Amino acid sequence: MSRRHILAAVVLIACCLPGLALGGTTGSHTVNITLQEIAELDCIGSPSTLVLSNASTTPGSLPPPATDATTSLSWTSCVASGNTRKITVALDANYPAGIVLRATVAKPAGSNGTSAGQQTLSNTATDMLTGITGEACTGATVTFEASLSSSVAPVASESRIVTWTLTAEQ
Amino acid sequence: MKRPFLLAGSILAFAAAFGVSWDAWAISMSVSGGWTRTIGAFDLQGGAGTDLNSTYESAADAVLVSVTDTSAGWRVDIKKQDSTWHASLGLSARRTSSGTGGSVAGGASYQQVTDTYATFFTGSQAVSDINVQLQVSGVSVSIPRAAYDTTVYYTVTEL
Repeated sequence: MSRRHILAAVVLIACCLPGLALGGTTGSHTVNITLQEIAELDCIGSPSTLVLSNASTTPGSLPPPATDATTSLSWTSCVASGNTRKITVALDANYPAGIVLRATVAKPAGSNGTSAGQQTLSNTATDMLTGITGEACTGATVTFEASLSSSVAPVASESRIVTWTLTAEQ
Repeated sequence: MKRPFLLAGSILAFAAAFGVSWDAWAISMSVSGGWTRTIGAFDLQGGAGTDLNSTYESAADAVLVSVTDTSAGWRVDIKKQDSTWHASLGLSARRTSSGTGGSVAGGASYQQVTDTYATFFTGSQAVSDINVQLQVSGVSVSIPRAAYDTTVYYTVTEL
C-alpha cells in the first residue's frame, strides 16, 4: 500500500468521524464523608461545701444529709451504629468510714440514656447514665448528697476530686 | 483505489466491534477531582453539649468539568449513586466558574443532587475547566459514626 493510499484512508476516516474524540458523554467523581467518633464531656460548676452539722440533729439520731445541685453535665456523643456510651463517676479516694457521698444525674431532654438514679460514690467508677447514643445534651443536673452512716469523729474537712467520664459501654 | 476504502472500513468496523458508538465520537466530557471530608470533634458548634455544624463545603474548585468536541449547545445533567450514604445527609452542587472557551449558564446556586438525573447547567461550544463546588448538609452527631460514600455522575447532551 502506497503512502497515497494510507493518506486517503486517513482522510476518509477523518471525514466520517468528525472530532475523533474518544471521550465519553458521562464523567464521575466520588464524595467521601467520614464522620468520626466523638466523646466530649463537660462538668459545669462545682458543689459548695456540704456540711453535716449537729445543729439540726435530733438527739439520738445522725445529722440530716446535706445536698447540692449546682453542678451539671454536658456531653456530645457520636458512636457507630449499635454502639452506646455511659457516664461514670469516681472519687480520687474513698471517704473515711461513716461518711457517704451519693450523686444522682438527671437525664436531660434529648438524651437517649437511662439514669441509674442515686449512686454511692467511691474510688471505683460507677455508672450514672447508660445507653447514650449519638446525642448532644446540656444541663444534666447532678445532685450530690453527703450523709453519715454512723457516728464519726468531727473532721475539719474532707475534700475529694470527682471525675466524670464518658466512655464506651461494654 | 479500493485499498483506502478497505482500510477505512476495517478501522470503522474495529471501532464498532469494540462498542464505540457514533455518539461517542461527537460531544464528550471529562470530569476530574472529587471531595473527601473528615468531620470530627473539631467541627462541633461549641464544644461538649453542642451538635456538629450541619453543612460543609468543598473547595470552590473541587471538581473540574470540561465539555469538548462540540460547536453546538449542550446540557450537563447531574445525579448521585450512593455506595454508603445516610438518608439524613444531603448533597448539593453548584458551578463556581464558567471555565474557558464557549459559554456556560445556570447552576450557579446550590442544587440538591438526587439519585435521578436533573439539569445542572447548560452551555455552548467547547468549554474547559468549569469549577464545581459541593456541599453536604444534614450532618449531626445523631448520624452513626461511619464513612459515607457516593459517586456523582455528570452527563452531557448536545442540544
